[in-house]
Amino acid sequence: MIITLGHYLALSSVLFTIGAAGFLYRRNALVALMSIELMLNAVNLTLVAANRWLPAVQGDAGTVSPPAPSGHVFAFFVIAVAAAEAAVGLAIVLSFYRLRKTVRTDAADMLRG
Amino acid sequence: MNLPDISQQLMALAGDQISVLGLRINLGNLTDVTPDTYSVLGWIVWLPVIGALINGIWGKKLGRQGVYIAGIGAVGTSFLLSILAFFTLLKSGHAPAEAAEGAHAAAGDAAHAAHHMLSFVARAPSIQQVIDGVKIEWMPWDWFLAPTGPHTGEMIRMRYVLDPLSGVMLLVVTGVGTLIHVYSAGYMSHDAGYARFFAYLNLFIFAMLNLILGDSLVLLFLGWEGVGLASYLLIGFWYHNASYAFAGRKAFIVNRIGDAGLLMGMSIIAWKGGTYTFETLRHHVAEGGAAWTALTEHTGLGNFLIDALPFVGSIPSIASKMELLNPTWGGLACLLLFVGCCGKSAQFPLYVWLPDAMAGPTPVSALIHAATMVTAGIYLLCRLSFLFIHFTTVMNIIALVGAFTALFAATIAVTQVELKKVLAYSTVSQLGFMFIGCGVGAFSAGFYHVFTHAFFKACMFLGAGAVMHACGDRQDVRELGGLRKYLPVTYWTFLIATLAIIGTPFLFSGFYSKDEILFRAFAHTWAPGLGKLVYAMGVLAATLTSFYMSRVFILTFLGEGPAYLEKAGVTADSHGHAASAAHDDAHGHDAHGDDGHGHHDPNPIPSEAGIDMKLMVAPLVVLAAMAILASLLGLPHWMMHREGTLAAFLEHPVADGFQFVSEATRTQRHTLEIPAMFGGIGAWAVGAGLAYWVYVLQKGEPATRASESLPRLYKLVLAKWRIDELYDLVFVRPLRGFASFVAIFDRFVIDGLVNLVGFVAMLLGKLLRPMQTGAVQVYGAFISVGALAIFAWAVGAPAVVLSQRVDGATARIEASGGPGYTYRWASFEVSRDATADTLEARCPLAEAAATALSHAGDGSAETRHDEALQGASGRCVVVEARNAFGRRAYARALVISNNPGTIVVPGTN
Repeated sequence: MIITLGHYLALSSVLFTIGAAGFLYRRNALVALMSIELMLNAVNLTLVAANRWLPAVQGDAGTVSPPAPSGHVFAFFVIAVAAAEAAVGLAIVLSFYRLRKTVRTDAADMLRG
Repeated sequence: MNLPDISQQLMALAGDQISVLGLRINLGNLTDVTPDTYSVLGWIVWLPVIGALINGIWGKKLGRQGVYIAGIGAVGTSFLLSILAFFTLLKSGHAPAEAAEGAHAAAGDAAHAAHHMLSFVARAPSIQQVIDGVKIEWMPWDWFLAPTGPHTGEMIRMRYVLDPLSGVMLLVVTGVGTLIHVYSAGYMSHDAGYARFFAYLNLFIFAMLNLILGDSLVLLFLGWEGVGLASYLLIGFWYHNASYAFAGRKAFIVNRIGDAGLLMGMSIIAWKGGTYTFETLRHHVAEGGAAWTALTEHTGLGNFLIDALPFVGSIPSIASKMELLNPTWGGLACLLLFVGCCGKSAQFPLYVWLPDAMAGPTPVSALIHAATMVTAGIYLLCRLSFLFIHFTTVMNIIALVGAFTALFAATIAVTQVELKKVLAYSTVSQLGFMFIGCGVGAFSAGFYHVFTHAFFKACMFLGAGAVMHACGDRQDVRELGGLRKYLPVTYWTFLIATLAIIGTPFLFSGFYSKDEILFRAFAHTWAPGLGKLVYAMGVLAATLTSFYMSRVFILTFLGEGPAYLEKAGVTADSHGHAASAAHDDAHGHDAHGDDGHGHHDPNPIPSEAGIDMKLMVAPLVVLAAMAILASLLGLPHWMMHREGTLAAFLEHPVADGFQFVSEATRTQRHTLEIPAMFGGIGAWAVGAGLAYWVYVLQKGEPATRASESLPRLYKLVLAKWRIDELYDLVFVRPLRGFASFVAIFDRFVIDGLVNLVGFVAMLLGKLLRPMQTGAVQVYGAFISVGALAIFAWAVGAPAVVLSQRVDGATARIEASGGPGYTYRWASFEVSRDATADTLEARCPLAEAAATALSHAGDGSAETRHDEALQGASGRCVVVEARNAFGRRAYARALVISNNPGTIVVPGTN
């Protein structure tokens, strides 16, 4: 079986949907954070896969060079941002736990209108 | 700018010296400037505002010493620069004469300054100067473009001009201002608002200088409102006392009534005269006046009858120049300007604010409400005298209003018992005299009275302040008396000022200034009988003035020792600090109230010892000296056989009403002047003699008897003719009633609208609030749904709906749009047969897509397709819409053309 871009995108969609569903349905803040990581990594997968299938660059003098690794670079950015987000998110969860003695997200509704 | 000759002469005279009272000053470096870049004027005006800012912002940090230095330093420096500027003006005016006389100018002695002034007059003016006069000016920047009509405008310049009129006024304002600043340092020394007081006072000087030096009505108006503001702030200086704050508001509001007149007058002048600038206006009036003269000579009518020629405005060639001199518009403008003057200078209908303005600290009363601000109205009349002189009706009104005010205020002053109230009504009365002068065309005589009055009235107010300061804030003359031996300097200076205001012959300035006004009223011949009537009213007012000022002086300074001390059982020997219970209510009369100004001892022994009193009496001496010396500038014609020095000096900027006095009157000048003088001397003698008889010889007994024999009249006059009550009844209450009626609209309609807007916002908030659950996952769900919606819209199959319009033989089919959609249009012949009635049956989609679109070429963004029809036919229009992701959708429409008429069957997908 030949693995095509479509396979990667399908996998990515599945991962993203699992992440989104996890974020929406689970009430544990830690699990919600993990779900967000899953969604971010689903995006990473599409970026890296799309980069793999980019056409090669035809130079002026007939040279052929591989495409720029922009998808990989994007993925690194996403990983960095995800790390920062996890740090902040965990800090919020921690202080929320100190406040309410729970990490359930449905307890965190102090901003209710 | 307009005076190249003068600037050249100034260049030629570089290094010249001038000596003032034996003191040689080298003016070469300072005055060798072209007249239009004399930036000293800028410093004169702006130094006080710098002082005001320093004291206003850092006053608390500076401490009293710093406030004192900043406040007095700013105004004092401004005064010194004013002297410099004034002599520069004299020099530029007298330069031609000096050049001609050569060595004569070398005689530097004490009379040199006077010589400068006289030769200023003697020189032969160039033609340009006949209109523009001698002046020096400073123009830092253009300010803004002010409209003068629907399509015209004039650039208003921030331009200060010093000419003889503004020069004299400048010296008075900065000079008296400086003295009063020094005085205030003593008078206000115990006050908590020391810095605030000096900041306001400096602000006042700044505004007043703008008023005086501004070259246009707009700058004058700026200063006019500025002094009004400063006056309001200073009257209500002790704003904790509700009645003082009320007095401030009253002054402000009454002045606004006058200012509305001023503003309207200004607008008419700008509209009809085409300019706000005094010089330009003067040119226009001169040209228009020449046209009038030509016309009146042509028609054989005299100058006097200008008012009677309204039809002239219909002659187009000269109408444009003369429009402002048209009696209707010009007269109305002048009348409205006079309303403004009535407000600011406290004339009859609008005088009511000035007596109440005595709620302010006494130096304020002296500076603003006696010496300077209230004379702004006369200044404006003098400044625009070249215009006013053309409207005899307005001039007559001014003279009558002045005469009535002079008399009316004098009657009130006779009965008042508070020192400052008497002085306030006296000021109103003296301002009336000034308006008499202006109204009978003797503008320079009116202005001379401004000049002399500034000194003696300021001296009296400051003397009254010194009395109050020394006597525990008492100013009721019944509680005072015998202060001569306690306050000798105050006594002597007050005596000199009193002798000046009552017009003691030959030695005091008040005599000469009042006499000149009365003479000119006497000689007035424009309207039959008016001059004599005004003269009679003036003499009567002068008699009353002589009486009530002598009365106040006698009751305050002569006779037995201060009544309040005797009542308390304190004598000068005992030095007791008797705090007798009987005197706890004595402070009810004071003008200071809760200002923290009160002394610890309620019954102090009056004394001029102490630094406060020393600071206060020093300016008194200067002002009293000026009250005598000011005579020198206005010695009358019969004495000197020429015009008074000030009148001659002001010849240029101020119109001389003599041009309208008949030839006979002019030639009879001496024969009129001396008889007219006896009226003034008689008034002085009768008034002062009566006061001496009543209050010295009879110890006030006839006054008591008179008030008891006419109790109703006495009470009416004591209550100031109940004018305030009348205004309250006629204006204030109806206005309040109207306001509370109009407030209904405000409360229910305006407030209702505002509340409705608020209610709608609240309702929307209430409806949408449940969405804000605070639960992060609900927000996440919203985001997801929104993202899916956008995704579906952008990526899902394009939705396309067709609409049609028939225009003659053309059917236009239009497809709905979408992001990044492209379209391919095609059409093909179908049967017109109406039996197959479904769209699918007549125009199958599969066939359309397969056959027609294969010829339709590439897609375009064109959303419209025009189907032209010939004859009877049926066509199916099909469109393929493609979104950015390549998803396709089809729509078709059936166009049936009957002959005639076209039917379009709506398409579906």
